[in-house]
Amino acid sequence: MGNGLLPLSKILILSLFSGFLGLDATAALQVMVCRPLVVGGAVGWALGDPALGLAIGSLVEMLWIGGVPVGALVPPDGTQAATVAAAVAIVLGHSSHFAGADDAAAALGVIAALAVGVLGARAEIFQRRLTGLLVRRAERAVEEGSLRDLRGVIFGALGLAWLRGFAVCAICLAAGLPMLGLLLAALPAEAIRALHLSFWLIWLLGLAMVADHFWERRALKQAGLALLVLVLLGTVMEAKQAVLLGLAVLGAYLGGLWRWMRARRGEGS
Amino acid sequence: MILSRLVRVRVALRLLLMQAAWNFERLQNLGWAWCMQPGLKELYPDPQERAKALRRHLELFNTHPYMAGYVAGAALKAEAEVAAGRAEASRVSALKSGLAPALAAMGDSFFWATLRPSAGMLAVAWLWLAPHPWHLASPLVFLLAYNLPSLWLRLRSVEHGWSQGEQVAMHIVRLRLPAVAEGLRIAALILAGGLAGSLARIVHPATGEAVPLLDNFAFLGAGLGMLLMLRLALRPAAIMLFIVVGTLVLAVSFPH
Repeated sequence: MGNGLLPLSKILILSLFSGFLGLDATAALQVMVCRPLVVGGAVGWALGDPALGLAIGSLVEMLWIGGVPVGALVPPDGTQAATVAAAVAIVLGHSSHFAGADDAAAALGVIAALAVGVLGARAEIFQRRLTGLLVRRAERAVEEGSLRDLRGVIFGALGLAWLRGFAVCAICLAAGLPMLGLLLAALPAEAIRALHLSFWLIWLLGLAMVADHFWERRALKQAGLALLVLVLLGTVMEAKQAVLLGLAVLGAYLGGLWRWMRARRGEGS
Repeated sequence: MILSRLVRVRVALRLLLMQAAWNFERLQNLGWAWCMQPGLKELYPDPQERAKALRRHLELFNTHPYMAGYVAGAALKAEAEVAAGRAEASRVSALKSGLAPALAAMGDSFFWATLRPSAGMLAVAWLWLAPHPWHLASPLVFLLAYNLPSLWLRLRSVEHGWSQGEQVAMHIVRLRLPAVAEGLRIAALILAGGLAGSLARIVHPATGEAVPLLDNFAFLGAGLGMLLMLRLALRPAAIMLFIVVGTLVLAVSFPH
């Protein structure tokens, strides 16, 4: 059973798990275990390649950086998107049918993730409407003087939210994986090369999205300087970027902390 | 009237599920009312009075889930005044409608738009730059960087709201969240710039091999071009389509 690339048991386990992690996005806890970076790592671990899962998760994390659930806005579903992207990259990338096309498979996974995210958001809007029906019934009961604990509605709504995540993930994995597999098998060599290059350009798009999200006129000089210094030092001296970058970030955080403490001292005096 | 600490803790724990029954008509109303139920049960022994109070909390309600504890603590304090006959019931609704939107804006801007993306960026940098196998701890770095400050605030918020009542807004102003956010935004932007710069020398996080493709300035130029397109409000999906079509044209034009 399954779709020839991933056994049915794994599709079900991944979907069950992804549905639970998806609850964290809005419905429960919100400790951010629903974020693509965490989900990608978990899927990678489940499918035997945590490093690739994390790489895909971190890329989807950057692409999803601006998705903010403000008010009634339902952003694209990053949890199910990351699950499908990581699963596609790992399953197709490790398949002997697609030897040498691992980056192309990863690019296909990330592109497919965009569609999964939109599908997930549509499903969430539908699920919230169903939740609204449960809520209306409980409101009527309270209007009539009922004092029962509203726990039943809360857990019923949680069940609906979990079911939504599970269904989106299971459908996308069961149907999407073989379709993408067929597509990858049918692509000519030029298209595989193009996808390979696209994968790395999408990384750059992720970084550009981060810079766009944090666009702060006052920090542009520092960010540009950090970029230039690291490129020059990396190219000329082969210096350890990790150390340099760590120092730059530490300095920026300490600067922010100092500003905050100074502002609080000013408030206290 | 005094509300026991145990009840306040129960309210704080229920707030972790406040958004479970989020709906388009009255947003967080039912989850909010469920969170308030333990407090109302203790404050209103008379079932009729309690039902009236519960109806008050089923009105439309929306705030940032992490800031809801402040509103809950302050609202419970106002309910205690109402239950003791020292205030009108309308005071509770007025307090909620005054605090909730302001805290929602503050929470959205600090937690969703700043702390979470900054922690994400830190974790991405960790994944790319930390030595193997420590790079695999990247999700842990993200969860710690994000949850240490946010859980600290969430778990204390009901107590702060309860102890300070309507004055809780001053306590939140004293936290100086906008100043912290500014520092975090600057740090994250530097991190993004630095990470783009170091793409030239680092290794692929999955394979551990060098990425020669990135070893040139033209690649960084492409990144700046993408940033420009984003600043011009082009949608990321459109840029991705542009990337795929562009690379396909390149691959067909230069077969080797």
